[in-house]
Amino acid sequence: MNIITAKGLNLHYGSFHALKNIDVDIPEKEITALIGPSGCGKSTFLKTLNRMNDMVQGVKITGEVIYHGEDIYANGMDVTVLRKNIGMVFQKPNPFPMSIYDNIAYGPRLHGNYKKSELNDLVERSLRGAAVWGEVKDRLKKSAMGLSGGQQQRLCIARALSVEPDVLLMDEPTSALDPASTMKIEELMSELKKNYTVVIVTHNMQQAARISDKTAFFLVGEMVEVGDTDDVFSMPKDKRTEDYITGRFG
Amino acid sequence: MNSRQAFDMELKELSDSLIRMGAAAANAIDKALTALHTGDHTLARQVVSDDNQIDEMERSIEQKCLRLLLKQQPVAGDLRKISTAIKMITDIERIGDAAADIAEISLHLNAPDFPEIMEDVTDMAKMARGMASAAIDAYVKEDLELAHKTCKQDDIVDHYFLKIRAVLGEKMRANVNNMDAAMDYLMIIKYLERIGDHAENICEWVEFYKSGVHKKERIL
Repeated sequence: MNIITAKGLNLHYGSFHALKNIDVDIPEKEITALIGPSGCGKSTFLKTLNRMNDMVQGVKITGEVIYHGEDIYANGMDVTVLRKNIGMVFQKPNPFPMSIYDNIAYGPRLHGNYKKSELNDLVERSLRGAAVWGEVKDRLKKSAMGLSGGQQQRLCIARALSVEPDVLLMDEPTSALDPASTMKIEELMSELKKNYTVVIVTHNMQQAARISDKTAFFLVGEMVEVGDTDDVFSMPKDKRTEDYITGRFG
Repeated sequence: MNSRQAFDMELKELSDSLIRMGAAAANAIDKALTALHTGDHTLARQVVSDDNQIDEMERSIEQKCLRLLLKQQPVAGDLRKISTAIKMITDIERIGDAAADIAEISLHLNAPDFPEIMEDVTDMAKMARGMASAAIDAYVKEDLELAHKTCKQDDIVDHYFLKIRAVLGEKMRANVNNMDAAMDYLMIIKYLERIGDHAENICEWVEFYKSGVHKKERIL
């Protein structure tokens, strides 16, 4: 089943046509990787899935992004609720300058009324879900800024999980991390897909091949090819895809 | 030179190595059949000892392929090309072994024991040798049509095997003194038939290289 479907999606930054007629389905509880050279539109596309591009001056979006049967660009869409349900993790870990506990509790406090015990449970559940609870449980009141890069990124994932999304968007989540932290995040993503849908932008071909179920290749604003990851990396249908993944350009 | 260009050069060197290994195996078949026809025991012993060089080529190409897999982490066509090479060298090495085995048998035969089969044995050997060379050519030139055409020639090699085997059977039934020599020739044509099979295997891997399909099954 598909949780998000983009239909005829076009995006202009002023006169620049950044996304051209994108049609793609995002399957539920799978990892979809978006690959392509710098400037191809993959991060732009990722951000259309929870309307993060709304904040860019001069942006114009046409077409549809259907999520749970509704076009998220239709009038009346509550963007705050949308971004709660479709969370985002960025390339550079960006914990809030507050305690580990408050980082996780921030979102739930905004969105709902929780008793202290409920909030404690939610914080623990989120940190466990991001495979970082064991490393931080004894210092929840300490500043998140004191964590390592890999821990901070997992904290950011926990923060996204705390508001109980069903989709996680990840924009190059491991490109700023060391190999050991990268491996932990990749293992976490494989666990997360049991309960969440994950869409990841990555420049790392081996990462995309290792962890994703589906891969979409973008080039100059177009989606050139999309398919099962094994197929895209073993027998790509389009020569441009083959040339990109074999390093002939990009 | 960028890293992609360097990788392309290494893939070209891989193809060149396979051509050299294939040529050595084809040469071994030629020499083994000459030794069989002429009773040249010196030549036969040379074929047997030269088989070590073909074995060494197999090891060297295998190492090349493993290093490429390690360093380049190839995908798509590059992955299929390298994994096909790894499979092919086993078949080429066995072709070399078959030629050496034929040469070894010729050491204790009186040439020619059964002149009436020698023309067919020669034609069978030429066909099998031709298949081996064409199979490697198909890989290097990425020629799927050549691979398919070469595969079909294995039926002709098999036909020769059955024909010559029938004659040898008659020889054995006619005179018990023919038994030892007839069994040796039976071994020889069996080795030639195996060479045809190995060449067919190579062609099937060329199909995998081009299409991801091996023996009608999509494996990558």
